[in-house]
Amino acid sequence: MLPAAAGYDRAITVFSPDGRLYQVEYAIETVRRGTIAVGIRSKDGVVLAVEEKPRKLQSNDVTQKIFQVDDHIGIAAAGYIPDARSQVDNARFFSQSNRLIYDEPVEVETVAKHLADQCQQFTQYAGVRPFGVALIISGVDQHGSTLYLTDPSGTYIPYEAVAIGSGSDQVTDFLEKNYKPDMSIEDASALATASIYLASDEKQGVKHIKMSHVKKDTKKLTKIQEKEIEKYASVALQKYKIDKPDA
Amino acid sequence: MAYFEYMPGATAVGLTFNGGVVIASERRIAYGNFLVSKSTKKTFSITDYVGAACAGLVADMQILTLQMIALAKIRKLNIKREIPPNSLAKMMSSLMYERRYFPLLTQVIVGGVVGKPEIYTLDPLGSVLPDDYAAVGTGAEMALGVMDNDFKEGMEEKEAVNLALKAIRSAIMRDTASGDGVDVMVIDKKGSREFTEKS
Repeated sequence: MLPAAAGYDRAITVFSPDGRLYQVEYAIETVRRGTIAVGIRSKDGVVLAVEEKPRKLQSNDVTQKIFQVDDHIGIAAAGYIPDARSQVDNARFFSQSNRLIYDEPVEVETVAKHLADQCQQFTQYAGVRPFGVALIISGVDQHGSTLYLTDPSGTYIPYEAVAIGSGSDQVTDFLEKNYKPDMSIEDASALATASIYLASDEKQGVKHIKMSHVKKDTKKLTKIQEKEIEKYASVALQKYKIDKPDA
Repeated sequence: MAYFEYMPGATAVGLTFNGGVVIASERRIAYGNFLVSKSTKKTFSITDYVGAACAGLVADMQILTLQMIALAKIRKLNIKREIPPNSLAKMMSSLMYERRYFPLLTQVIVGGVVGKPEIYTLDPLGSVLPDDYAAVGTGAEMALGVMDNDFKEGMEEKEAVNLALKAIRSAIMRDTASGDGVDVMVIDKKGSREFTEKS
């Protein structure tokens, strides 16, 4: 017997005898090793938060892992970020096409499904590799605030709150314990900040946290300034006591 | 062009009222002096909450509405909610503009209620014009004259139906291409109802 994959991880389009697509699983592993990204629904909008670790001399004012897709839709990514850019470009074009065809803003689910379809294609064609990135697609549309997760296999699932990237298992447990459906967007932002602290080595400061909101009343994606994140951080540290090893 | 032998006249109107829309059309099809049909329906239900009324080539309006009904069903399955009238009008406009150089020879009024009552007029090339009331076809001038005079914002359903009937009947009186009764479709947030009146 050859080592584990026995050559079945060479071509993405070939199932192993026990029914697995190794390349797709490896892509999902890439996501698992990425830095954390969190998305939370609240009663007055959605929150996206990510951890970014810039080098000391890196200009830190441009967010690398949260992307605007349309006025009302944002994407947070974990995994191999350049792949996310390609998917986001695609989503932007798709959103505007949808607007031209139907004369209304595209729905979050429609974008999520489109991107997931794209991922699925890249598990079935020879000569391509799967995307090494998972996306949290969120926004406010005709159905209210909405959150979807896509992964390299082409799965897309709606969530109330979700975390991807390294430490996401722990954060998911934390979210399952602390998430409440009737949270305000401020509470959700504090919870998101706490989630980042939980997964990160940095247990204080907000230089490594980026955040965006899409509020229900404005239906616009807005970047949250450092000052405001600091407020959420102080609430988070007080409320959730995440500096202890197993909160 | 031989086409125009098969270009029957028609009158179709649409207007909004407090909580809904009325769409109406007369029932005559005539090829020149020959009256082909006295019972042709030129109002179409596209979804439960959006309807259309057409004037022009009968084949073209039927193909257009059948395609729209099919597209609307798929769209509704995809978005899991009712399709608003502006969106349906835009989809119809795309179908028509696609054929810019070989157009579907029909004018359409799209009207419906998803949220608020809305009326749109489309020409054969696919322009989309929003209106409170509109008329298309060979009798449009007469019908518009009546509605320009009598249309008020926020009418009751009964008033609106009567105005639609009056507009079409006025057109029928002076337009030989229009006649033989009036099909009326009323759409509000409860759905659509249809009935036929004498001219």
